[in-house]
Amino acid sequence: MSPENQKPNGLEWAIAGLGALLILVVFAFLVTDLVGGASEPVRLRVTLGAPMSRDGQAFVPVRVTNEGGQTAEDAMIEVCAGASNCAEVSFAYVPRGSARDGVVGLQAPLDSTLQARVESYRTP
Amino acid sequence: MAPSNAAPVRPLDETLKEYGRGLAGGLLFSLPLLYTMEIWWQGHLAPPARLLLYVAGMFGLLMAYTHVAGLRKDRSLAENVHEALESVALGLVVAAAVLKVTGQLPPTASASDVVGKLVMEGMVTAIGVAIGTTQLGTGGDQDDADDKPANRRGSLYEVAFALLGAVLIASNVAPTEEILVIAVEAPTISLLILVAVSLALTLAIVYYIDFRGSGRLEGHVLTGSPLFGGSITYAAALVASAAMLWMFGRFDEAGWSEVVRQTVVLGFPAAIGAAAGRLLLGGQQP
Repeated sequence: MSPENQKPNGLEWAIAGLGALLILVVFAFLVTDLVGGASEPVRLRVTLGAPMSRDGQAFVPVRVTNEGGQTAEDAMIEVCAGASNCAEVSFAYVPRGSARDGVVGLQAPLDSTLQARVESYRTP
Repeated sequence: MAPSNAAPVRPLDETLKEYGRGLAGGLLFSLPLLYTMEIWWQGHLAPPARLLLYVAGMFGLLMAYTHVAGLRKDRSLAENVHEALESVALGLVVAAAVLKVTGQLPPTASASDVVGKLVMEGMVTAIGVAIGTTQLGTGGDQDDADDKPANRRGSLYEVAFALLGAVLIASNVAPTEEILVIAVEAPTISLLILVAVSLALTLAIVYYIDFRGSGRLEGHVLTGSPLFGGSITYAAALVASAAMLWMFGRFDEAGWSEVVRQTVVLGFPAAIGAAAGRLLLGGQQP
């Protein structure tokens, strides 16, 4: 961004070089993504963390990871400890390859093994 | 005229001031977008091909801007690329910093999610950087304004300024749900009125209310005429609106009626941006 009749200094060359590098990386990544294809369906994997008891409730950390090739929208995850002790958590978006964290609150104490399932999601 | 080898190297403090103006401009013009979640979402919703086109299109607009309104007198392709790349670097860094600070680049985000968000936000911020660098200065070099190619009044450049202005203003609302809601809820007569108001505002800003820089257009064969110039400006606004809506996925599986109605709705802010952009971004009045 140097004015007339002046040569760019080292900083300007460095910043322009950084810009060129970033553009190249972005293009390379997107072209690879384009050629590699992202047509696999959504594949959500739910993992549960250790429950934390507080105020008569058991709070269970939930992590949902999208191992598929498309973004999942409005993903609803249900976590149950027995047939009548269930709770849900929803995630606005779970992009492909990304994970999102949440917490559900169940009635304590937990009498049964924790189970999680993907209740629903939309594809954009 | 390319700088000769004997030309002095630009002082570092001046470069830092320019970058400071660029960073301020990037934040000033792009912060609403950096704070808009629909833009973040498009980073992982938009397919790679669309993101590639977006990068190419925005870089093209940056090149057009730096060619006509950049700081350098030398308008060679190499200089334009150099200046545009500087804006891109600063734009991406600003976008990355703001997204990181606001928690939108969590450790659990995938590479495609991160790249998508940075591309969506960084390229618009780069335009803000370029405009901030050239427009937010104290104007100490305005005496040279007439010598700058910015005042070569090519119709193509006028369209480029109109597109830039439209993108800068309308991109703040383009990805929001409200555009679709207005498009489907407003009666057709309201949309027709919106078209008339958009065109009238375009004409008023560019030709009739002595907006800063409007004298620059006098005598221009094509864009100096209110009839043609106003139409071209509004057309550029509609094209920019349609391109942004397509980019943000608003045309996916939409019928023609929905496409046109959304374009008209977004065309209103875009027309104001296009008209102001032609005058304010195109340099000072000679």
